[in-house]
Amino acid sequence: MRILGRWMERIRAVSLLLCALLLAAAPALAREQVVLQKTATNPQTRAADAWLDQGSLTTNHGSDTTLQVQSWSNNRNQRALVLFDLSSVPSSGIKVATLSLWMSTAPAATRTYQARRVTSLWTELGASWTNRALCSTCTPAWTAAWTAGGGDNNGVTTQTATTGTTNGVFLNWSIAADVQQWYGGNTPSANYGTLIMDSAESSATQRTAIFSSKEDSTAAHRPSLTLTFIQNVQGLAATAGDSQITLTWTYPPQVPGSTIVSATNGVLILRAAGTSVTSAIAPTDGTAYSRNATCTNNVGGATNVIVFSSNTLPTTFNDSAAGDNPDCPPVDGTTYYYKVFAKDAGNYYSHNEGATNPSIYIPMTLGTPSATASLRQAASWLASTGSQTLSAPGIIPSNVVFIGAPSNIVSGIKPSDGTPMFGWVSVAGAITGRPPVLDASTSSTGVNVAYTADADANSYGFVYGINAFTGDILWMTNPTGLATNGFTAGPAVVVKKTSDALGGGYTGSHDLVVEGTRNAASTTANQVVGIDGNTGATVWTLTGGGTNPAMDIVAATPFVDYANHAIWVTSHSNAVTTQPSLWKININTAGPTATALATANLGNVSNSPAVTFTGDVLFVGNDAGTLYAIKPSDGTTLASVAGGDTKVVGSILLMTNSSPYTLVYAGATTVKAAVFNLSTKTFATTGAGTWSTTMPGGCAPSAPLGFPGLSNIYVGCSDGNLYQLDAGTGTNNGVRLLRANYTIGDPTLDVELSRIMAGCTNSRVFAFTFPF
Amino acid sequence: MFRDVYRKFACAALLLALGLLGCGQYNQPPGGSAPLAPSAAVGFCDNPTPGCASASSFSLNSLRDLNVVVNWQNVPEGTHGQKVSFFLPDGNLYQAFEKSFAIPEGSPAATATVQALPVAGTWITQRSLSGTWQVTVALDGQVLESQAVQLTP
Repeated sequence: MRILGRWMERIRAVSLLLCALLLAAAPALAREQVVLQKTATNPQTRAADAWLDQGSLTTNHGSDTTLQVQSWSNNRNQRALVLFDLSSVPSSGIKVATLSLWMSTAPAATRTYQARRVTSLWTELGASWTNRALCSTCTPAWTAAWTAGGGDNNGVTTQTATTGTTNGVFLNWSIAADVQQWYGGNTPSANYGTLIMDSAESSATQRTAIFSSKEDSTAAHRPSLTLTFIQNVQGLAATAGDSQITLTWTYPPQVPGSTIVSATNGVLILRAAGTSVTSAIAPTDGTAYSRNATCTNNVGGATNVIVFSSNTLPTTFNDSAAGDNPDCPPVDGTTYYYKVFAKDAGNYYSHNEGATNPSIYIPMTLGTPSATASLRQAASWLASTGSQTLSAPGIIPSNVVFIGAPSNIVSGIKPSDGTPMFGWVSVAGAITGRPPVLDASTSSTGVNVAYTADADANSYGFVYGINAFTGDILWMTNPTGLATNGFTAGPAVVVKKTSDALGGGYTGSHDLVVEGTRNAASTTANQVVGIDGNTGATVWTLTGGGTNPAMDIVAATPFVDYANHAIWVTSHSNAVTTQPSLWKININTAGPTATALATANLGNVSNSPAVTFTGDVLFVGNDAGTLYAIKPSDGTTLASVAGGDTKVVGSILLMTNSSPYTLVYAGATTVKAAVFNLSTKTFATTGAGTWSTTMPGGCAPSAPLGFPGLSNIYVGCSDGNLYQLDAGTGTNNGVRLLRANYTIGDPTLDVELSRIMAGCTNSRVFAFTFPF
Repeated sequence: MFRDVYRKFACAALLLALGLLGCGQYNQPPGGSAPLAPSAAVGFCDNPTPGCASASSFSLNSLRDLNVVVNWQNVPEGTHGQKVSFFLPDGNLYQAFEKSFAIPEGSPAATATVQALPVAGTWITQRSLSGTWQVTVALDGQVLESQAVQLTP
């Protein structure tokens, strides 16, 4: 019997091991629960906490092992801030979120503590009652104040907790509503954490509670956020055929350290014809859905048809009469939009139940079936961006698509299948310019780095260096030290290794990030800064006025001219032609101040300039539609011509590498090609080598995209389409519909994967295979 | 007997109700009348001065920033969250701004805020995003005002 017992134990052990292995290998489509807390195995890199003391307005308590909350009269209140790193939990529907703080010392009388959503970015070592962030060791030193002392917040009590008077207990707040917003449930909000404050501050008697911070030596007492969630499917792609569309997807791995609350189950797919599945609707948690024979089983209105429901773990859905949808297969010529909801065994779905737009960021794709192969279209992938984004995504081909959005969020996406590479990263303000991205072998930082710049609600601007693969912020700075200098353009980068490869010229040891300010309150004193790409330190500043001419707002990314060892910046000119709008800066300016080497008065310019490869001509278009050819040595005008439309949109494309230069540019409703002959210093907008294409329906085009040797030009438009124009003739030879009547942003190409990507006003970036 | 008990109970309930009102979220105005709900008067200006002349239509050719001036009334003391959201003519959200402001204890329950939407040199002018924009203004999570503004080419 004893031997039998041993064998039974061994069999049980082997069985448990096999089960564990099977579980480890299984996809994690399930309701999961994870505790986010700084531990030896979870560094919570982006987490922060601090407490704010009204009695010591500028004292920082970010390094303390405690967090204090106090109500006391005569301006002696105290509040606590906590922020968790959510990067380990990617795109998900949040079901439960509980914030827990260990109260080591309770107030002498019971109090009610509120949890509120913080609405401004703050830093652990910069936050105080007055300030939200500062850097006293930066060059220049800078300080960012809260708009309202004691921590900017949304004014809404997410939940309250009653302290009692017992020491050594946990206090808990349900903050699911806030976390859902961080995951895009309503209008997305950047994750700036939670403020804990007494609901009746300024009491006559001092009432103080002391909590453990993430610096507490007892790990179990540190702040924690327990999330219950369902991850979305990944890699959703569509393939169109004749009267059929096939969707494929994968299931994400289980989040490290999570436990399974409810077992795996399957997916529910909603389809809409000609329009997106409504964001304001979603299946109800706990309710099972299925397609019916008449395809009238909808969710939230006739638009959103249930076309597939599976309780297994499918990775494909063939939307066709002969496939998985015999009842209402797709019709050729109609564009269909699909949303794929993951679900668990309890019929809980991967959306943010209870939020205003619960399904806004559910994985979506689209396809148009057709009997004619050339008329079929299907998206390679769609990715959520948190808000409209019209700037071109940054890219390291085949490695990462890096997107900044006006919702104060940056995201990193795999260009192959659209899978998020890291959870959304919150920055201080809106990002409206393209972030340049350098791979580790090119960047002087030695890491894959993206640079971006923003402007917050108070026009306060930061510039960031961000690890493009992980989302970790390497540095952030206010490079001018001023509180009114927001940034709307994307930065440019002087890349040391590129300069070296082109024969040298840039003598700095680190890459140099160059950015111009958009201080709309001034038409004369805007600035351009050169920033050390490795450290964020300001190397030099060019300021309008004084030794330089007056400088209006900078609205476009500067251009790095390696051939002439210069940086070219365009600006507005206060709408006059007596103030400069083109600026030349020495690439090796030592600083701390910079002086313009040359300027040109071209009227308002909102576009980036472009310099030929050999550096013999600079081309730029102004906001009135005039094209200029500029002599780079001194900024004088070689020639100018009316471009034939009311403005120039985006940078001018150079389609040839030597004179006569073929230029492609966009106007209000047209895309055109012109020719510039350097020897005769003349533009031609008609005749050989030129063309003019009016966009269908007179829609407003984006900046065109192309380069020498590419046979097509790509341009987004305000009718919701991405167009492919023949580079030699301008003929429209292909189109992809993203979303009818919405505006499509500037496109980006991944030439290694043959992918074209563009944002849209509907908060998505779309990717298609090119050529169309 | 029953009537006395009822009267005492009613008085106690009334006192309790008055007491609760006194501890309520909003300031008790002079005269003891019910507190007025917060309200917002919204205007659009081409400059950020609180007393600027409001308009309902602006030309993209000359507008640098669209300034939304919000005159708040009857806002109780404490820290509040204002959210101004700008919706494109196609109905999509273009940008939203959250900003805190504080009404100090004992101060008038009125204040003015200005929220600027960058226009000149942005996607709005570059991509000709003209038409009827909708602007909503929320206080502490509740939308209190929604107004249209014309941006003309």
